[in-house]
Amino acid sequence: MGHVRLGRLPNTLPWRGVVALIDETPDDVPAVARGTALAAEQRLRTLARDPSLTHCFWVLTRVATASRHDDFATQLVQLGLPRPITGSALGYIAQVTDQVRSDLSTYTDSGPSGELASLALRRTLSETVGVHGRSLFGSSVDDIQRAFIEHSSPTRFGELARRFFGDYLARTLRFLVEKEVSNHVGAGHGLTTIEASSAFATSLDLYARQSARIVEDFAAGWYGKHNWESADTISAAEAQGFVAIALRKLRMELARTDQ
Amino acid sequence: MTETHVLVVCDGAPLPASLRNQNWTRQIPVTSRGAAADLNLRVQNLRGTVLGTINDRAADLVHIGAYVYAADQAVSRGGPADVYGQRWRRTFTLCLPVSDRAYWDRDQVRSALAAVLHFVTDDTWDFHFTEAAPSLQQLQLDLHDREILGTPDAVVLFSGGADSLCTAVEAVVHQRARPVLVSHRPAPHIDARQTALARLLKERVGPWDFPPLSFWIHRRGSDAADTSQRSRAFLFACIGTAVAVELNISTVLLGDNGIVSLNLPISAQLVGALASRSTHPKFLHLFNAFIGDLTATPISVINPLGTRTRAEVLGILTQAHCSELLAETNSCSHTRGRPSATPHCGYCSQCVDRRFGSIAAGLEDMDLPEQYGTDIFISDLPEGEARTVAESYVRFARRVHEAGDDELFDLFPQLFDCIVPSAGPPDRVASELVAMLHRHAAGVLDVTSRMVVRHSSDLAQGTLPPSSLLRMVVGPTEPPPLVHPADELVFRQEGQRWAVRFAGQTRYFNQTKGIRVLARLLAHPGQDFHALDLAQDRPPEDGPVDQAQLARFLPADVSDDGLSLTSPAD
Repeated sequence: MGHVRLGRLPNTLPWRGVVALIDETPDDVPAVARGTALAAEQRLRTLARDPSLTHCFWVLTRVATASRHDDFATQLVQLGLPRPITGSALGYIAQVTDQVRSDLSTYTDSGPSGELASLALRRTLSETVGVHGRSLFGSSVDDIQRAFIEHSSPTRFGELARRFFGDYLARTLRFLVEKEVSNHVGAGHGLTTIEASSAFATSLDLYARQSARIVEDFAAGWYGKHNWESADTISAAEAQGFVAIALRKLRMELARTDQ
Repeated sequence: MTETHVLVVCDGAPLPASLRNQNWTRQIPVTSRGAAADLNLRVQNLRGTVLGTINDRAADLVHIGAYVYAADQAVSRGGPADVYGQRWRRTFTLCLPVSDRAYWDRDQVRSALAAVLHFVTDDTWDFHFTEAAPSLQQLQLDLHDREILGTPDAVVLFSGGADSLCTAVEAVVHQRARPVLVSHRPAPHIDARQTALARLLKERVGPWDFPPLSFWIHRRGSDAADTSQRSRAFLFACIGTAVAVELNISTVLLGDNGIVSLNLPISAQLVGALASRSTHPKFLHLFNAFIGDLTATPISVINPLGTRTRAEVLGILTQAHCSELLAETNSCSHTRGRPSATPHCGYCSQCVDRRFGSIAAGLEDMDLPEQYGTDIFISDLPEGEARTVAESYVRFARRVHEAGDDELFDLFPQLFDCIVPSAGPPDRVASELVAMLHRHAAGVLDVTSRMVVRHSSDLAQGTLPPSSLLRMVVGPTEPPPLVHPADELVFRQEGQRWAVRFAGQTRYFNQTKGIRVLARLLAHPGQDFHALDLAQDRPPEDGPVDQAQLARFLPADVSDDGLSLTSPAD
């Protein structure tokens, strides 16, 4: 490995509570997620206005919109996305990655959260291409278009939004929790082995993705209304409005105590 | 407001009016000349001779790299308490003098410079170039006379680590190249190591001389406010390119094994450049775009090891019959203040990867566990870096091992950054990457299994510390009371430490002279030792002692008093 910069969770009461949950009852993943959401509540409120998150979600709406046009490549360019250099789906997602990095470079305040949003966008793109079992390897830009046409109706767009916010939420929770997890693996801890630690990470990931179902119906309704009203040109401001509400829904979903 | 927006004024460059009244978080002067210089910047060749003058654009390149490196260290990115990383990303505006302002002011060059720095540092960079007085930018380096260096045809960026050694060896043995070794010297002890290794290279892999050039570029007068040094790779590439310009060489080799080069996050807390991108394919692609128009004949910085795992890279030494050189390299991130007997800390990400890699490559004899301050497999790993890196490293390997090719891109979308146009068709590049990742993961798990077998006795007896890597892999063993009845007394070496059990409690002690003396006395009950013999590790005059035991102080079982004295091998 190259160099890495590791962090720790703050030694405050809410975060000490999270650490205690990881150490003592890691099987109770909802409790860990809830504790983390409460400890990070202020940050999660701030992220509801994060321009990096909004931008990545906006890109997703634009790919979905462009997919409905015959000339997909030209439409992508008209919507501010790069023109495919090769026909490869892998290559095109890499191009979008570059463009998004450039777009986000001025949002310094986002910190690592900007990168988390970018990772969620990439995964949503690649996962959507493979939704019918199609491999990313050997897939083309045409396959991206076909996959996104299927998700360009309001109902199916809700699935896209769920994937995106589920991944973003999972990465955000793990970005925080994994500052401590390794310190609580081994005899005498709730996570007795690395295998248990892996299972915990997988469970937390899955729990976050399931929690994101809370935004699915809302996203479907929002996309149908705004895309129709704006004639396929959802604006960044409209996307920002959606993201703010989606983040609030996600935060409240995690904070629920009846799970 | 958490955003850090810093104005850096380099060597007294005049400030444009547009920058004077902005709301800077900080303003920092960087000075490389005069008595008050806070940036040391000079070049030295093998013989310690300070040479002549480097050409304008190449000198500018080194200066840009050095100024960026100085600015990077001058501003904190926040510490561990910055839980959300809100201070990690900074915005820099640099005012700096250059000799060829017309070139550096070109939009294409400026945007390429900003792009490569943004990728490798996570920061945002903007530059304002001013015309420098001719004497101001001169660098003390004259390589026009190639004969001085033996007419080299390649530049190897040489850190003194295992991978840079392998790069140099492969270049000479397999490519028949004649590389000049270019080093960045941030501290004296690193320079000494690099120089010694270059000398050994000449002796073992000659007849090529491996002429070294050392660039002394570091802060002076105060400690760095931030030590992550994400811009160091950029500086390193800049000085390599400058030397290539001077020597009319088209290839600069910056070697790192492919796993280090990708540096995928072993833990989800490592986002963006929190995991360094020093030889990342995207960094090299962007850097080459940046220097594309620097000279009439394009220069490329390439990583010849980029599709091979650490173990595969170390195989270069075996094939070239010089694997003993591995012992002379150092890969540790925490070199400052380390004892010479244990030059590797053993627990940083570099050490952990090196340790696994050398075992996987069958080169453990050249990379002895004793050279590591901490043996992660069997030592008690304290909370923090040691435990996090070790646990995450194996967990990462397990995850990669279990994942299919497509799933790897889902789990690690960072892989899309590695698909760069200059590397070839995207699908082929992606296939090579996932194949390498799977080979790496299989290697890590294989080494883990071998170490479990090697220490199976200790694992079965439950004598390894609970937070050692092997215990975290295997899990709790029999409860200690079953292994150590309350009335059992133990004084036993376990790896690098000694376990002492008394009155039902076990404690672990580091290898010290005192513990060795105690072990020796306990191994020879009823025998007299002179105090000086004990102090100097001499055998007693009147008693035959097993020399093999004495050499390692691994005493034999003693039956009386229920005292158990055994070696790990027992």
